[in-house]
Order: sequence, then structure tokens, then C-alpha cells
Amino acid sequence: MQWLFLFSIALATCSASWAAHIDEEYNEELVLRALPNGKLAARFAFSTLLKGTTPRPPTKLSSDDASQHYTLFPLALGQLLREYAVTELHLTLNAGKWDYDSWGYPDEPGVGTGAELWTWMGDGAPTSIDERWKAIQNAFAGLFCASLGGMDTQRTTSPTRAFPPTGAMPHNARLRHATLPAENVCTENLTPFLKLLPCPAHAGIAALLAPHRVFDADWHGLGVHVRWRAGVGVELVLTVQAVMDPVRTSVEGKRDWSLRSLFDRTVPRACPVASSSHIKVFPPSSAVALALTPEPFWKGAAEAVYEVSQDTSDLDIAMRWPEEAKFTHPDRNLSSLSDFSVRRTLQGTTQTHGRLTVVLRNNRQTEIQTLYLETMPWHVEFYLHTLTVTCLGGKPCDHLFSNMTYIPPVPHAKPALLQAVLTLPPLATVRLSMNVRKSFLRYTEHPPDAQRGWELPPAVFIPVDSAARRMYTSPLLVDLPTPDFSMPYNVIIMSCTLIALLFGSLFNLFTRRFVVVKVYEDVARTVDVDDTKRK
Amino acid sequence: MPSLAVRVRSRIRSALSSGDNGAKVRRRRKLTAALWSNLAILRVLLLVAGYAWMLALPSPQLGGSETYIDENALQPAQVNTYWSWGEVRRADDYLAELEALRDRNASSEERARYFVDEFTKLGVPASTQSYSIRSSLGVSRGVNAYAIYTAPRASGTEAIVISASWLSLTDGYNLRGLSTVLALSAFLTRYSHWSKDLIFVLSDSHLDGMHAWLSTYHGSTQSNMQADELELSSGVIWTALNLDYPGHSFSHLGIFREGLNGRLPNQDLLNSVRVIAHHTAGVPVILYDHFDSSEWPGRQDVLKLIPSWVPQPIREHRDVIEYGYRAKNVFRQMAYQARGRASGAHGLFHQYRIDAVTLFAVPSNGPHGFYALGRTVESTLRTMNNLLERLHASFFFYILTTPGKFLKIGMYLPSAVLVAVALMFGGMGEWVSAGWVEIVDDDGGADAKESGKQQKQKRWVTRSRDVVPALGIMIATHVGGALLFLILSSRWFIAQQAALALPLMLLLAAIPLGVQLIFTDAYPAPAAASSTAAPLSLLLKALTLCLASTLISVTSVLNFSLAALLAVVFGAPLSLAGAPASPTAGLLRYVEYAVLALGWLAHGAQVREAVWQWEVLGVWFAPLVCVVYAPIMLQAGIVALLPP
Amino acid sequence: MSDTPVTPPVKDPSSLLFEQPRVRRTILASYWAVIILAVPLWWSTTSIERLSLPVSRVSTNEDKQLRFPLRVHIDVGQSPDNAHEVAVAVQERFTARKERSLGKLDAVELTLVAGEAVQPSDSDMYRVSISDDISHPLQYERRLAVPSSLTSQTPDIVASLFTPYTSRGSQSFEHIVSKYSPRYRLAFTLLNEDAASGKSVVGWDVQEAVSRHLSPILRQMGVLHNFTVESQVRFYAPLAFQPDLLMVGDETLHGLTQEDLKVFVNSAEWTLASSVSNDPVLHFVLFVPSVSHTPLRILDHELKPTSSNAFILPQWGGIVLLSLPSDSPSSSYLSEAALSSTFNTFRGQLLKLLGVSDLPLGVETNATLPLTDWQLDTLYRQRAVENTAGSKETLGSIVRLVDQISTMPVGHGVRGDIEDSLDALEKAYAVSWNSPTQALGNSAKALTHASRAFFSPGMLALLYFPAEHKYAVYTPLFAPVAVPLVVTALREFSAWSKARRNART
Repeated sequence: MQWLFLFSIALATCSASWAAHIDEEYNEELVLRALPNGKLAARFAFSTLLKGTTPRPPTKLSSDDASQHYTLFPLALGQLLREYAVTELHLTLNAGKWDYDSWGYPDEPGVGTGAELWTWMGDGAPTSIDERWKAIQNAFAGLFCASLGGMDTQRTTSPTRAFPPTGAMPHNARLRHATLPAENVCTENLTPFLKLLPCPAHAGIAALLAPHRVFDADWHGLGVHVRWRAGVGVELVLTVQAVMDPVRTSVEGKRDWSLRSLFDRTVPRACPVASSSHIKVFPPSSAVALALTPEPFWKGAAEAVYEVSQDTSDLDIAMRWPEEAKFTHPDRNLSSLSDFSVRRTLQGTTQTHGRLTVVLRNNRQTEIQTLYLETMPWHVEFYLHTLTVTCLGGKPCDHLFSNMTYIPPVPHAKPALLQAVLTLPPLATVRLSMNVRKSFLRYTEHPPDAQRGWELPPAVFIPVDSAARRMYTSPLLVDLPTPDFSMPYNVIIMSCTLIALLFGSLFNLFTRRFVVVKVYEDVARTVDVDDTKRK
Repeated sequence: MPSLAVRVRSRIRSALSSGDNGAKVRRRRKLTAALWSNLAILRVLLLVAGYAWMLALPSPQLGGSETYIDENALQPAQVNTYWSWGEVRRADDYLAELEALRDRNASSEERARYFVDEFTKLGVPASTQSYSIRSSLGVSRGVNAYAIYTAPRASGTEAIVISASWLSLTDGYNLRGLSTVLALSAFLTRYSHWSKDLIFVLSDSHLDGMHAWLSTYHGSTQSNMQADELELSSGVIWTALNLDYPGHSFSHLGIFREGLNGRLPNQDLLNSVRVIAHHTAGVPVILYDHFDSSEWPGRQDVLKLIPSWVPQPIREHRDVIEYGYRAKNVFRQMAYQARGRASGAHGLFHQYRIDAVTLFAVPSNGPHGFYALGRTVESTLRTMNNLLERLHASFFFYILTTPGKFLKIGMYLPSAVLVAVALMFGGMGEWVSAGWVEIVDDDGGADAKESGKQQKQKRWVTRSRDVVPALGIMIATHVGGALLFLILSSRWFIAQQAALALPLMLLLAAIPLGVQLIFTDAYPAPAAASSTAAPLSLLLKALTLCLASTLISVTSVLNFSLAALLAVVFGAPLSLAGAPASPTAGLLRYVEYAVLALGWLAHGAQVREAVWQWEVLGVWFAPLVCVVYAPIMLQAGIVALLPP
Repeated sequence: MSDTPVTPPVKDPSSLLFEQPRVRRTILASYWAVIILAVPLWWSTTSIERLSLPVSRVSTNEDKQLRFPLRVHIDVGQSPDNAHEVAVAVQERFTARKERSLGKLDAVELTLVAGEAVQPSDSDMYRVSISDDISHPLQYERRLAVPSSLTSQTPDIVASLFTPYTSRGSQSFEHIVSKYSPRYRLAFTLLNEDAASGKSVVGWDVQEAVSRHLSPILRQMGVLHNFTVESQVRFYAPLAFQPDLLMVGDETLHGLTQEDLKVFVNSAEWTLASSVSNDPVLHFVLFVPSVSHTPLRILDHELKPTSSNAFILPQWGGIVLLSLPSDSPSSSYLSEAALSSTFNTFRGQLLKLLGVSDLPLGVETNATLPLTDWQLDTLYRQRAVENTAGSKETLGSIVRLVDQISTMPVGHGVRGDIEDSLDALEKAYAVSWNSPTQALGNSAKALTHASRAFFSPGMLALLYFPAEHKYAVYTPLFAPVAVPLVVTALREFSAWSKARRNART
């Protein structure tokens, strides 16, 4: 039998190169940007292309699906996409607050704190969009060990202006979008994530992803992006982003780094099925001389490119600043890497009302137009009539705030959605602020850690001309009126008693019968006037 | 069914039978009669009980419960700290530069600039905030410096504040506190285990700098304050730690906790600081700067307090000294809380629902310094870092008798309430006796004839209780109090307070006298009248007593110390108030009350402080004294003036 | 005050408006009205939907049984009495089997028709013919032909053909068979232990192989199950253990002991399971060991390498080892031809997992289809029996559970499912006389409905306000409120009756 095997193998291998048989393609890329403030932004991108396929048309959901055969594309994911006829899907799990001012724009725009999921799904299926949306959440929650189940209707919106499809849409599709700022990301999310890769841990660029180092970064995030490129096929891009701080980890406060010092791994060998695998390094734009080892495969104007090929082994890229004894932090106030900076705060000391303030500073010499998106759970209600837009010196300039759409919240059911276009004059500071009302919750609606408060999703800014530069503000934590949950029964019983007391006295007053009584000191001669009268 | 009906009917009839009614009424009468005849004794008893209880609060026999950590997340002193001598050296360097700044008394701007530069060198985003606060005492200007370290992988929704003010709560500079914070900022930002942002605030002057920063951070504006916007922001602040290190080294860490208007931080915070200081740094923790009476200096301090005429054996007795020591602590807390004062910069945080304390390095020559303080603070911050919710598990109402012992609210609250009840009884007693008078007549009324008794007899008759004039007087006095407050808080009065205080006092005291003289014939007091209408004095006293009692009992649940103070000052005097035999005696009485009511005006410094606290920090004490306390006392005095 | 007071002039209180009995009674009545109106609301908000279950039907169905009367015609050519002997022997042998089979065969009742000829039309009759013109036993459709030389074995063959889950060696492989499900997912996985180690298989022509080797079976078993086929290739799948290294002759090879086989699947590292549906999955893994583990062989209990390169994991699936020869390129692609033997093995494993009994030893088939009707019938009957048993059990436990937990809600969904399941069950009993396939279909439906009812999330939702809460919370409110209401009502009633009596007298 064995022999038969070997023979057949011989048959097989003498056939033409395997690539001919497989209509799937896998590319991997690592981009390393050394930032001016000594930090290092790393971005892994693993993209799998399913050639010549189209998303499953939702109308076919009722009938059985064709049997699915994948080589490089992860089966688990493929099934999900087919099962719920998802055309486009973006899931990001991030930990930390992306500092646009000193880190610039991320390569993957989805950097909102916590979990963010948005999908474009075709309409017209036997099951409603929302049912599928719910099912997708549960499926992905299971796949990535994340608690996405919290993305219920109370957090789901459809901000089509802010999140347009990045790929093509074969049939008329609907958007569903939700964020969970409180979700925190850790190893148990990365492990299943890596399992989706053809070369999970021992080969290729993915070998660098050692949880204990990635999760020691200043910022890290996982991303799953599925889209359909018309005529090309379904494309899956798995991304890992991280911002490392070599200065913090180094003893003498230098900003030198190497793959080993960052990930305490090197690239051992190439992934055999990857059709391309690059490492791009972007040195900072500073005058200080730096040394890059080993010699890059190709050197561009801004970046140096390394090729991970079959003959690479233990590739360890390192960047050093020989002259620099100790890294001196630049003054962040001088130059900001982002076009404009945003600060969003929820102020106010009472438990019933607050004031939401968004301060934007245009860092450029040119006017900027940006879309402003707020998705607010019903717990916090906007008082739109109090919305004020002020410029420098507190003088009102409402003309900067134009074509607004607002979908008011439905208490206990749906969140509010506010979209508007903001115009930022050159180098100006614009200040939006409006009053908000904090809702009073039913006691069953409070979370187990009631005294913590409620996380509110970040606001999103999308420059009108460059949609890829989506900006997320940090989420907010709001205190809602919270009862003392330490002894609810005492409270209930006490209030019951109080009510009973009030009722009793009131009732007696209503129904008491007044009679005239003559009282003498000895009981015998007491006469009830009332009775005598009745006789 | 019929059987049931019968039974029911019989029961009802028994319930409705007239004899029963009569008995009920008689029983009620007996009770009231008994109460009435013993009212005086009852009042005295209640008063005595209340005061005795207050005195008993510090007694070791009363004990009080051991403090304990209630929040499981805190895990105090469970981490090993990395604060090393290297950091101490760094702190020393900062100290040297700060001393240089102080010596060439650099302006606020310079100092703030220096701080910001230092932070920037460390790569921590920093900024300044200049402010100016107007009050009738003048304008105070300054510049705060603050830095916000965004914790790795944290969403930036929560933050911890580590602060130090330029001036210490003792009258000195807090240079070591500041340099500790600077060194900490360099040290803490090297670690990635922070789940909350760290905000380092180096506030100018003592209270006002921090006040300006905090109110701007929370967006609460104030008409008499101009403060810059904060350029950097972070999330919700849950806990804050304020460092005060005036001396060159310290022996104990003192905890200051009282906040504005009698607020206290959650007890878990104090307890964890105490545990950490003891286990991590081996530093003993004390309350304020009161050394433990079991040690040498503390014992001497207590002995100094005890008057010399107390015989030696009693003074030396352990329990007496212990009592003295606890009394000292309790009194200090009450002094802060009753006046609504913050015992340090931490006190400004509480109004924003932030639990904060000041760690005060009690100046002495040894043995501890930056090393111990740094380790304590690091470990404490790690503990706060563990929090998943606001501190809510432990107590917010408590009196610390010793660092390790505290009184629950149930153990001290009744003392004030007892006094309040005494006053209330008094008031009601007066009210009743104002409503009835006993007259003698010869012919019995119709009912007397019916009863067939044919001799003279005394009987009680009701008399009308016209409360309008009484209320009028009370309202007038309170309005007067309000005017007094306006005058006090006006700039020109503060300017020449020394000159104006006494005249103002006399003027106010004289007004009722004048009114009395004018209206004395408007209210003639013939004996006949008193049988039909209640005398004003009684009514006034009754109402005043009720008012005072209500005031005390309401305050007691908000700010016990204040309630206790009111109970002390109102209790006895108001109970004793009454119409004297002769007008002259009445006058004397009035003078006494007037002194009680307005005497404090003479104490200029306190008045100025109170006014400042109200205008800047919004402490209620000054208005309360002017608008509530003084008028009520005056009312008691007026009672003495009025004819019986 | 203790002295006699002057009483103010007495005014008859009952003359006052608010003292008139009518007013008072109206007030009282309105109070009661509010309460009485509030009761239903309170009841509806604090109680749960708890429909009654068809308990009696469940219990009656529990002791019913499926019945499969089978007629076997035995044809021994010329000698009918000989046929009778065979028939008797078969009957004996079959009853013997029945005893041993622990109730597995109880449903089956054999009626042997010996001798006389039967009209060929009646297709669902099993025919055993003993003839001389064949050399070895032959089984096709529902017929069995035995050469007269082997007449003595006929009873055995027939009996084992009727007993399910029997392997060729006629011992039972019940432990391997996976639990019944109307739909299975067949997941084919090409696992490279470590593709980057040097040699790897980067692709396979699985679609072709499946359609070539498995589709006929899948089509034939369509009555039993629907199948979803899926496949994937993994390039890194480390073993959880180290295969032992041993020398056989001159070649070193790596061996899997029988213990290793049990823990072969490294479920922590391999991503085989798919998350999308709840249908049971049958895995078929083609495992390509890394260069460092090639060649990989299976060892017997004496740690001798065996010729087989495949093994079954009961109720989980099958695994085939493929050790790449040293001369194969670093990355190769398996064409359909190269996969044929592998998929033959997979087919065998699949049949075992689905519970198809092999033909008895020595029996051949000349049918074009891989499975004969006789084999399938046996399986149909067995599955039907299992399903009915299963659904009866499930229904019983639901009823018991609901009966035990008094605060468990029972919605329309649950009750509907239970009733459907019962209907299906009864239908299965009804039709089992003439058609095993229909019996199977209905029993399957019964099982599905029953289990859906059992796992319906609606039953988990516990009562929002259980009784103890009610008492704990409401007593301080209700008791004090009720007392004055009742007392006053009684008092008023008595006063009213008294007044009436006075009026009468």
C-alpha cells in the first residue's frame, strides 16, 4: 500500500507547479515606522485572496450552500462569511488610546479603543439583516474569544456616511456598526487570531508575534478586514498593529531597536505558501545619523525593504543611532503629525446633567473639512438646542457646523446618531459643546460593576477629502445615578414600610368616624353621645 | 355565613362600644398628664445624656471598631516596589534646583515653566495653567503645572492624581513634596502596568492653585475666578494622593483627610495607605501630626493638655492619657468638619466624588526620607491602580479615634439627636403652656352645675396664640443676619475690619433694644390680656427652640461635627432662655445672649478666613453662622427682653 | 389639665359632610375598587407563562415499541423440506442473536416463508436462495444466494445480515458509530505537521476525489442523512507528543503506539472544528508528518510497525498518515489519482462511522452500487429504533423536569415542539409495519423536535419574581395596608346592617 502511495506521489509531483492548481493567494507584510518621539509603530498585514469568488447572494440563504474547499483561506472564517452572506466585514480589537499628535495616522484606520465591528450585508434574505448581524457577533465572539455579544441593538447604528464600503457591492447592501469601548484585548484573542494564518507561529513574519511582547506595547490592536474586489475576488486581510517604546524598555534610555529586542524573536524562515513577504522599515525624518542592519534588499526614498525568501534564516533587522548616547524627547507641542487634533471631554459634577465638549485644533495652514460622527447610547441624551460652536476667544461661529443629520435615541432600545460636517479654518481652534442629560436606569439595567460607570463609544472624524484618515477620540466614562446595591432588600423593605405608614394614616383620616364622647372619671357613668343619638 | 356574621357583628360592637372610647381618651390624658408634669426633668435628662455621650466619644471604653479593608480589589501592600536609591538621588537633584528657585524667589511662571520642561525631558506631555481668583481679601494669582501620562494600553477613561502644592499645609514650602512628585513622574512612567492615566499636578500656593485646576478640569465655572483652559485632558479621576513634605526628613506619615463642608474620603483609602506605609516602607502612620500616646512625644503632648490641678496618679493613668489622645484626634476632626474646612489640598477633591488624602511627612530629624515616601506612594498608586470601580465598599461617615480605630455613624449620631430632641420637647412644652392659662372663678360653668359641685375652683382656659409677631421677629433677625453676612463679605469691611468689628457688633446688638423701646407701649402687658392672648415671649421661645432642634437634627446626618457644634452652643443657652422677673435682669440676660450671638466678630482672623473660604471654596460655615446661628441666639436674647 | 375641662358647644359630627356614611363608604369602596382592579395587572406582571404539557400522551408512547415484521423467503430449489430445515435453523440462529443483542433486535420479527414460489413483484421480501451454480455467497438488493456447499453457513450469514453494526468478522463496532443526526458535516483536512520544515503538501484535488469516491455512498445514504462537505489545508499542526524513534532493519522510522493514537488529535493547536453550525462533524484528516518525523508508521501492541497507515477515532472521524518519500519536492500537490487510495480508506472509515454493517465474511456483491438494500434496511431499522428510544427518553425527561421545577416557564414553542415530536413518533409506530424508511424519517423528526424542545432557551429564563422574593418584599407592604382596609370594611358593614335593623324596627 505504502508503495502505491510513493508511486502516486511521484505522479503528482511530476505534474506542473502546485500554484497552478490553487486559485488562492497569500501575501504578508510588516511595516515598521520609527516615530520622532522614539516610539516604533509596527503593522503586520496578512492578506489572503480568494480568486474569482463572489460573496454568497443573500437570496440564496434558504437553499443549501455549495460545499466549500479552502487551501489558504481559513475555513472557519470562510464558513461564517458564507453562512450569513456577508459582503464586507471589519472587526478591530484594540487596547489603548492612539495618540494621533505624536504617532501620526495609523496604517489601518480602525484604531478605536475596544472592539469595533461593522459589516455590509446584502438585503433580501429570508432572515432579517439584524438577525444575521446578531448571529455574526456571536460567531465572531466564539471565534476570537471576545465578548462581542454586548453589541446589541442598544449600541448598533448605521452611519453610512462615515463607514462607506471599501470594496464593491454586488447587491444593495446595508451597514451595521457597533463599538464596545470597554472590551479589553489580550492573549486569548491573539491565539485564535494566529490560528487563522497559513503559517501561524514558526515561519514567516507571523513568527514575530509573541504575545508577551506584543501585549507589552504602548498600544496594540488586531484587525480582520473582509471585502469583495469586483473581478478579483474576496480578500481577507488580518492585521496586527502595535506601538512599541524602545526607550522605555532600554536600560540607558536609547531608542535603538532590533526585531529581537522588540519581539524577542527573529524571522526564522519563510512561509512556504506565501507568494510575497516583505518587511518595510521607515526611519524617522531626523538629521541624526542611523545605522540599519542588515543591508536591505531594496532601498527607497523613505523606506528600506527586506524580502523574506526561502533562503532567509533568522532575519533580525536592527536600527541604531550610534552618535546618540541617550534619547532626548522632542517637545510635542511644537509639531503635531496629524492634520488636526481632537480633545473630547464630558464635564459636569452632577449625576443628572453634564456637558460634552469637543475641542478641535487645525494644525495645518489649509482649511480642513471633516465629518463628525457621534454614536451615543441612550443613557446619555444630547440637548441639541444647547449645541454651541465657538472659535478663538469664545465668539460663536456656527457656520463651521453644517449639514447635520441626527437620529434621536429610543430610551432602553436604540442609540442616538449624530453626523455633521465641520469646517476647520487654518490653524484655528474650534470648540463644540452641548449639554447632555444622564438617564435614570432601571435597576436591572445596571451592570454588575455598577459603581464603575458607563463607557461611551469614541467619536469619529473622517476628513472629507481623505476618508482613509479616520480619527477616533478616546472613549468616555460617565457616572449615571447609581443606587447602593449593597443591600437592596433593606431598601425595598424600608420603602414598603414607609408607603404602608403613609397609606395607613391617610386612610384612617379618610374613614375615621368622629363621635362626641363625654368622659367622667368613673367608667360607669360614661355615655356615648353618639349612641344615644342613634337610639 | 350567618354564624360568621354574628361573630363579626359581636366583635365589631365590642370594638365600637362607647365605654371603650371613654377609656381610650382617659388613657391618653393620663399619659399626656404624666409627660407634662415630668417635662422639665425629661428635658434635663435628654440634654445631660446628649452631652455625656459626646464627651464619651473618645473614651477607650467606648472602643470603636478596628479599621479594615473592605474592597477586595485593592490588595494593599501585595506588590513588590521598584523605587530605588537611584530615584532618591534624582529626587535630591530636583530638590536642589527647586531650592535654587525658591532662594532667588522665582515667579510662579518661572517655576511652572521649569516643571513643564522637566516633564517634557521625560517625554510626558505637560502644560501650565495660570489663574487668578478674586475675593474680598484681595486677588491671588498663580500658575499651575501639570503633566498627564497616558498609561499604555489603557483607554484613558480613568485617572489617578498625584499632586503637591508649592506651599505646605504647615506654613512652609513643600519643596520635597514637589521633588518627590517630579521623581515619581520620571520613575512611574517607566512601567507599563498602569491601567489608569497618571496626572501629576504641581499646584501653585496652597489651596487656591489646586482649586483652580480642579474646577477647570471638571468644567465648573466661578464668577470670581479666571483660569486658563486645560490643554491636556484625561478621564474620570477616581482617587488622588496629595504629598506634603515640608521638613528635611520625617519620622511618621500623618494622614489628613477632611474635605470641604465636612466631606470625608472613603475609609478604604486611609486604611490601605496605613497598611502599605507600615508593611512596605515600615513607616508608622498617625492622624494629623498627633503622635501615638503610647510613644514618648505623643505622651508628653497629651500630658500637656491635661490641666495641672489634676492629681498626679490620675494624670499618669493609662486610660486618662489614652482618652486625652483620642479626644485630641476627635476634636481635631470636628474642628475641621464643623467649620467645613479642608485640612489640606486633598480636601478640594471630595466635592467631585474623588477620594483623596494628604500624606503629611511629619517633620523631624530622621529616620525616613524620599526612599520611604517614594515606596509608600508607589505601592499606594499600584493599589489604586487595581480599582475596577469607584471606592464604594467602605465607610464614608466615620470618626477616627486612633489610626486603627473608628466610630461608626450609629455610635456618635444619637448624641446630637438627643440634644435636638430635648430642645424640641422644650419648644413644644412652651407652645402648650402658651396655649393654656389657669384662672380662678367663682361660678362653675354649666358642666360644673351638672356635676353638682358648688364651690370655687381653678380651671384651665385656652388663650389665643398669635404667632405672627413672633414669626415677624424671627424673620427680621434672620434678614438682619443676611445683611450682616453681606457686610462681612464686602471688601471695605474686610479692609478696616479691626476698626469696624466692634461698632458693628454693638449696632446689631442694639437694634432689638431700640425696637423694644419703641414698641414697648404697643405691646402693653396687662394681666387681663395674658388670660386671653399668649405672651409673645413664650411663643417666640417655643418657635426658636423648635427651629434650633430641627436644624440640629437635619444637619446631623449631613455633617455630624457641625450638628454637634450647634447642639453644644444651642442646647443649654436656649433651654435656659426665658422671661426674667425684672426688666433689668432681662437686659443682663439679653447682653449675655448678644455676646454669644455676635462675640465671634471680635476674632478678626477667623472671620477673614471664613469669608475667604466661602467666596473661593464655597464653604458654608460663614453664611451659616451669620444667617442661622447669630439670629437664633438673638431671638433667645429678645425672649429675655420681652415681658413675660 | 387633669381637672374637668370646659367642653366647647357640642356639634353633631355626623351632620358634617365628610362624616356622612355615604361619603365614607364611597371612599372605602373606591380604595377596594383600585385594589381589585390592580390585582390582575400585578398577577400578569409577576407570573410566568407555563402551558400544560401532554403528559398522558408522553407516557402512553413511552411503552410503545417499533415493530418490523420481515418476511424471508427461502428457496432451496427442488427440496422444500430441506428449505424448512434451513428456515428453522435461521429462525433459531436469529432468536439466539436476539437474546445476545440486548434488545437491539427486539423490533425485528422474522417470518420465514419456505418452499413455495413468490411473485417477483413483492420487492420488500428478503430472498435467500441456495443454488449450485455459484461458487461463493452473493448478496445483491434484498437477495442472498448461497452455494449449496455452504448451506450450513446460511443461517449465520442471514442472521448477521439482519444485525446492525456488524463488521466483516461479524463482531459489533457499535462504539465507533457516531450518534444519529439528520445532517452531518464531513470535514476533510490536509494537515502538514510543519510545512516550513522542508517537505510539504500544499494542495490536493479534494473536490474530484470526493465526487469520485464518496458521492455514490452519500447519494445512497440520502434517506438517512444529508451531508455538507468541506475541506481545508493546514500548514502547521504540531503533534502534542513525540513519536518514538525506532530502527527496523536498516531504516529508521517514527512510530505511533496505540496510546499515541488515542491522543493523536492535538485539539489545542489544530483548528479543525468550525464554529458555524451545530451539526455533528465527521473529520477526515490526511496527516503529512514533518521531515523530522518521516516516515511515520503505526505500531501494534508489540511495538512492531503495521502495514496500515490509517486509523479511526470512534465517533470523531478517520485519520490517514501520508509520509512523503525522500525524493519528493519541497512542496507538492496531490492529484486525484494520488488521493484515490487515501479516499478509499476514508470511505471505509465513513461507512463504519455511519454504522453500515459490512457484508458477512466471504459474502460478495455484484451490485453496481456500493451498498445493497439489505444492508441499508438493517441500518434504517436500527437508526429508527435508536431515534424512537432517544426521543421517548428526551420527552420523558422534559416532562419530569418541568414537573420538578415549578418556576420553569413553558412557552408555546416548547409545547409545540413536544406535540410535533409526539405526532412524528406515533406516525413512526404506525408506518413501521410496512416501510422502514418512513419510520426512520418520522423517528428522526421526533428526535429533532424533542431535543429542540429540551434545549429551548425559553425554559432557562427563570421566574423574575419567585415566591420567596414576593413574600420578602411584599409582606411589609401588603400586611399593614390590608389590615385597616379589612377592619374598616367590616366595621362599615356592621354599622350599615345595624342602621338597617334600626330602620326596620
